[in-house]
Amino acid sequence: MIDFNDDRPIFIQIAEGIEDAILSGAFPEESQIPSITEFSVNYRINPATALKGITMLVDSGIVYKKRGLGMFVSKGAVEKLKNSRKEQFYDHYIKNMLEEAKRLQLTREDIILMIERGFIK
Amino acid sequence: MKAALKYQILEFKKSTVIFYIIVLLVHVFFASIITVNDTTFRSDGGFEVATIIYLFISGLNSFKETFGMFIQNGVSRKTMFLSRTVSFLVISLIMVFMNFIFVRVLGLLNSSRFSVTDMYENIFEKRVDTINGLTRGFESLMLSLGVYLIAISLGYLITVAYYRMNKAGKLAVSVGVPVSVFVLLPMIDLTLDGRITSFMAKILTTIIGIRSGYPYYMYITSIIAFALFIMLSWFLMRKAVDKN
Amino acid sequence: MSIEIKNLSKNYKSVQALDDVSIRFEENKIYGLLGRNGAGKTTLLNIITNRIFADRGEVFIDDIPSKENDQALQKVYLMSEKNFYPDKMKIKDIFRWTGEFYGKFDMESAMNMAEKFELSTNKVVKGLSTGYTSIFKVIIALSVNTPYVLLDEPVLGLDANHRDLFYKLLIEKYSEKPSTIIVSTHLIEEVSNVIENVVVIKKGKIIKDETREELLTAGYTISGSASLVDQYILGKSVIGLDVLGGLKSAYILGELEKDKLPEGLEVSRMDLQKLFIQMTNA
Repeated sequence: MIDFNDDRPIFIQIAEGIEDAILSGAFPEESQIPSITEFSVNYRINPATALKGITMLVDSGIVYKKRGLGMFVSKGAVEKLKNSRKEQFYDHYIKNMLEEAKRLQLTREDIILMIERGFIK
Repeated sequence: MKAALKYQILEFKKSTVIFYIIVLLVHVFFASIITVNDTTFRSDGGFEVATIIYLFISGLNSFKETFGMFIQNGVSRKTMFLSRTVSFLVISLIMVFMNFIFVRVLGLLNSSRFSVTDMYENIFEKRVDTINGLTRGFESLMLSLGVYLIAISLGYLITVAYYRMNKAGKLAVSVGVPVSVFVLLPMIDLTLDGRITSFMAKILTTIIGIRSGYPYYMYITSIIAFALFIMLSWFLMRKAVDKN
Repeated sequence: MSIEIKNLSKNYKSVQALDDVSIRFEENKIYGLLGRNGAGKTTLLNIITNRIFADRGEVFIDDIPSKENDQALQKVYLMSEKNFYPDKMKIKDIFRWTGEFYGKFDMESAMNMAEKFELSTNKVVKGLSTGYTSIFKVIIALSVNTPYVLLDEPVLGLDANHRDLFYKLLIEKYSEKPSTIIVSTHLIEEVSNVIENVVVIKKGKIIKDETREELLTAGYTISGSASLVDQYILGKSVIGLDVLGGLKSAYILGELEKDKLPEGLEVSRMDLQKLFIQMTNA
């Protein structure tokens, strides 16, 4: 689920990987997620890095800690993630798409057509 | 310190067992040969002489590999050295007693054609008749111990010295020592009508105690020589480093 | 609790292997000691473990000077490229003796790891390939349980699977029982995710001692047409340039000002390997 060839910091990739798993239902709400050790061993990364990624999610209320038990997906996490990802959708995807379209000299109409083609499929 | 000492004592185990198997086989072989053949066999001080050679060689093999093992295992040079010295005392003592027993046991077979005696009896022939058995046994043990310690510590000193020397130094010693002892010295000696040789013989017979007939001289000589070799070894090895 | 190095210098004849090096390795962190061959990595590790002596300076292990001190030396295990174990000793006997010298050595874990690596512990050191010679030493390093474990080029001669296994076991061990681990290597790409702190050594001097994140966010890479790049980098701290035809990449230290970025230039994060190569180029 994580591709380290991506050139963003690894802790962000870890956090996003967990978010993806929550959104896809692989980690349902109120279920336990793997421990820091499991993440770090599995991806051969420093535990401090894994901790940093998960702390990001704890801070934003996506997951929470149960003392002595581990990390769990918060109730309402899916909804929260959907909302924040929707907000980021424009920045992450539309902006980049338009930049590339400009390089290729695609018109507004070309792009709209392509999007519609995507929906038909 | 405990592990270092255990390691260094156990290093001698295998080779010492092999040594005794060989030495005993030689004795048994000759003891059986003279029963079928009209020959004689004399091993006067043979156990001790073989032991001296063995311990000298053991001393020569006591540094390089152990040094590597110990710096890998977080042992300081000080501890290496102290435990090495104790291990020399231990192995020498063990061999003193082993030889004492073997000589006494094989000595039971002594006849006109077969003889196994100890070094002491051969050096202090006259004194043997003047003292009781207990004193004789004790003096013999002490004599062997001293000589063994000299042998093993000298071997050790040589190997440590070689370890510390660079190529040029090794070459200089390897060539220089034999040349001066076997070529230069005899040549000078010849021009002085053998005065050097006779002087050295006089010194040697004195410090061993042959001239006086008392073994005490040799005890003092042993203590001084052992202390000197060991101290020189420490002086050389305390700055020894991994050479690569 | 730390390894503290104060003003260490070491000369080999005309070569200055270490030049007034001072650095602190803190408790329970994984360090990458990075440098090109001959930069002074091994010399530094050898002085810490008293294998060689420094000309000047001191090493303190948990505040005890390490020079000729058993108590301090027993807290450190150095797995080195060179073999110091007797050639004719069996691996299982080496394990046993390591237990005698380092009281906390975990024999069971060592034997388990040997099985995972398919290392036959009945073999003698001399009978092992280069890869397996590294492996048995790596196994000791991961089972010895000293507060400080130093690994000098640990993956030398290991194939891809064994390297991966090594990193997995290293992280497992570290998660379970943290210790200070210093991995000295010139293969930066591989360790970059494992380490938390980066120490870069160049010609006997420490030129960087930072957390991995600090180092990676300390700069960025910009690429695009040569003329645009040249214009952009004016007045900036450029540590290196790559030119490929009309395309140019610049490695720049400092914060990226996104709004001032001209069109047509691509920004990417600096990777550790690139940063390292740029920093250590003569």
